[in-house]
Amino acid sequence: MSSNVKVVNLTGSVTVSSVDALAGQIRDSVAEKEMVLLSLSQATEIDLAGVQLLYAARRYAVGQGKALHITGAVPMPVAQRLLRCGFTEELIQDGRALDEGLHGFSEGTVPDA
Amino acid sequence: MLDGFQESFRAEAQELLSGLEQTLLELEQNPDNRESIAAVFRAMHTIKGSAGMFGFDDISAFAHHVESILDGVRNGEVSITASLIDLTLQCRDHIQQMLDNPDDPDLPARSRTLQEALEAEARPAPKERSRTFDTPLPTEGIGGDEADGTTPDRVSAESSSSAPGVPATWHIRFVPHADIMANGTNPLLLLEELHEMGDCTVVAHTGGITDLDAIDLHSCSVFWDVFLTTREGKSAISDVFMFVVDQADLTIRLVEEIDFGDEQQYRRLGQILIERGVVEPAVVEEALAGQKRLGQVLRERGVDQDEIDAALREQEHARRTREKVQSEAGSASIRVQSEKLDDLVDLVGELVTLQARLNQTAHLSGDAGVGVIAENFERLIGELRDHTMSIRMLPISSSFSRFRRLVRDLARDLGKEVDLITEGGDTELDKTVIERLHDPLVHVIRNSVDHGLEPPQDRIAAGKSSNGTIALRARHVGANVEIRVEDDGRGLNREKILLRAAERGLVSPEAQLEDRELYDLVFMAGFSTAEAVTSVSGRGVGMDVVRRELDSIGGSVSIESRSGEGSALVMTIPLTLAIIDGLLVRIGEERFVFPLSNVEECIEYLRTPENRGTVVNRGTMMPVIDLRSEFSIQGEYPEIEQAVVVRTGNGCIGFIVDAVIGEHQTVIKNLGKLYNNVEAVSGATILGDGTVALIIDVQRLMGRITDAKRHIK
Repeated sequence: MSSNVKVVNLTGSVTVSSVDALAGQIRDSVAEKEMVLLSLSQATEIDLAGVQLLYAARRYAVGQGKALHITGAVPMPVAQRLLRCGFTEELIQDGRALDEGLHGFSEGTVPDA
Repeated sequence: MLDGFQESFRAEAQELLSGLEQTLLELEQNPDNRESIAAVFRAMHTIKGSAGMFGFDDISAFAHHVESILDGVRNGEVSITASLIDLTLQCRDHIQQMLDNPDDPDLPARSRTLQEALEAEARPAPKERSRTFDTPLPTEGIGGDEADGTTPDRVSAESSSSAPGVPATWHIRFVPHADIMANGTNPLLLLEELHEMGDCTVVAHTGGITDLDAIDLHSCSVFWDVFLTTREGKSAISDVFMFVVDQADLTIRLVEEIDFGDEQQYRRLGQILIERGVVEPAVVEEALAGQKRLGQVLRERGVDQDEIDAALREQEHARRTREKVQSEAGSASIRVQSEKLDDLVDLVGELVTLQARLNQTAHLSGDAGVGVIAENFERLIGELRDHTMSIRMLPISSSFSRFRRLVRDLARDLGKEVDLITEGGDTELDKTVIERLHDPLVHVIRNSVDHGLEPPQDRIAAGKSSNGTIALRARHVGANVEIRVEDDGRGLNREKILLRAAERGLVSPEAQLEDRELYDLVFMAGFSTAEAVTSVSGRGVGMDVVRRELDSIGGSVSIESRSGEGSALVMTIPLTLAIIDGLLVRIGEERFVFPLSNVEECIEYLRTPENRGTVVNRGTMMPVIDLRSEFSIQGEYPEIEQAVVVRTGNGCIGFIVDAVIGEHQTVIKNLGKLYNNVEAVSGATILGDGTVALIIDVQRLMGRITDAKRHIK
């Protein structure tokens, strides 16, 4: 079971400068495994590109018929930014809760556009 | 018959009614202001509710009728006309009547007449239902593609209704262009900055984010709705986005307050979505007709979930804001009966008197310990006095705002066009002073509208705009507040005043009077009857009443005028009535108090043959008045006397007294009716040792003396 799961650690700055590399990692992991878990527990910072990465990763996985969830703790700076910028409705410091609480995240629908 | 609850309903209704009046008048100026329409509706709604609760069923029933018409206005089914506003004002007055004279037998008939008139007024414009949704709502390009969708007059309406200091809720839709991040801009920082301006709810629309294959993570696929409650104005909000104006579409609009009844909520959710152009009105109507939850129906219809969420968050934000405002209002101020404040001021007055006595006793005892206590006591009581006084201070705008209606009605009755400007409404004055100023101000404003301002055709002929202007301005001048009632009318007619004064034997027809002296004649009793220059006939009060009232509160009044350009009536009022800082002096065994605000300095005075009636002070001749002879006080002059120098409108004047005792916190007590006609004193105070000192009314004493001298000449 565990061999079917891969955890991708988003460490340090999850920002414009790192998202392309991380996107590559996630894409590869989704191709390999049935379920991919994204951990933000070692992230220090997130920007819009990083947030878009989370959503796009989820939608990509769903599109591939795979599962992708957020896991682990959510560091305070990240949780705060997600709240203040309207991606969550409350301060969420737990990855599983964030998986549910991230606005529009769990719908997994890919708009036609 | 009225119990406490009913009494408090009256107080509340009174406030609502005066607020309602203001809002209606604003609406008249600016009929498109949805804020005002909503406010009028709310006021009527609250009156209806509380009247019913406290057993004023007639008021409640009547308010219900008015409310239902207003609801039509709010929904855009009934259009706002001048006559509708006029009618609503009449309804407001009628409710006031019902409050004041509930037993008046004419009331039910009047209620019916007004109701019928309202219904007739509302009937001619029954627009088809769909109109409700697509025209009157302030949508303003919320779709995001019209970044600059706000029209100029809407902007001004918004900025005026949300001046800095008054919290308002704004809806900001921030749609960054895809390339916003290309030059390193982080849009999230802008959103975080908004949080610093006030309570802020941000909703991200993430529906535009595609999957990893399709997306360019470096371009922005998200946009935001922000609901921000802030004291800052619209421009402060746009400033946050100053550096991204070319890289984003931004719409900022004022959100009207929301009613939170359950059924309202549905309508409102639909309304928000229609405003944003998310759903067709027909869809919402259909959904409302059925039993399902609106959100569910919309989802089934394929409405964007983000949009529904954003609308729900807007509701939630508004609800939270409202709760917060209510709880803040609850804790930030409490309602206290004014009698209690008056009692408090009385008590503080007694305390001040007692403290003066303590000072004196401590001084006489020579006990250093008691002296220190007395000094500390004095400081504390001084602070207590200031705080107590400041509690009684009210901004004069509370009085100014009542005149809007007066001016409007007067202008209508007299067929004139009048704009009322007010300035310095936040100037504070003692509550009693404001109350006592009301009648004089009413009189003066009536005069200005009636006699000062010309009819429109005369104004146009004189090369002025047809609209006359009345300006009410208040400001602090030293320890006084100056209130000016200005008009841009024809000014006072010198010849006519002189003629009338001569007719009444007030001056000789040949008299050469300075402007000030001439205008002073207007304030003479008996000057103001019939069609005199400055009085509204039939009211039976004249400018003498204005002066008397101002005198009684320790103020003064004068007139400035320029022929053809307008006139100004200037009232100068002391900040407070009850306690003043005074200068205690002695003549023989008698004690007198000069208001310290009038006193410039004290100098020694030697009675020499050349010093009769004048003295040289700082190189200039100054007239002096011998108070001992003025008040016929027996006894010998001391060798060296003191002159208390007082500044007046025409330079300084000295009052000779035996000795200056020192500063004295003076609690003013009225002298009572018997002494009403004593001109030289304005009141009395009780000294620490229990003796009474008279407070000298410097202005009137001087007026009396100069009058007497003129007679001698």
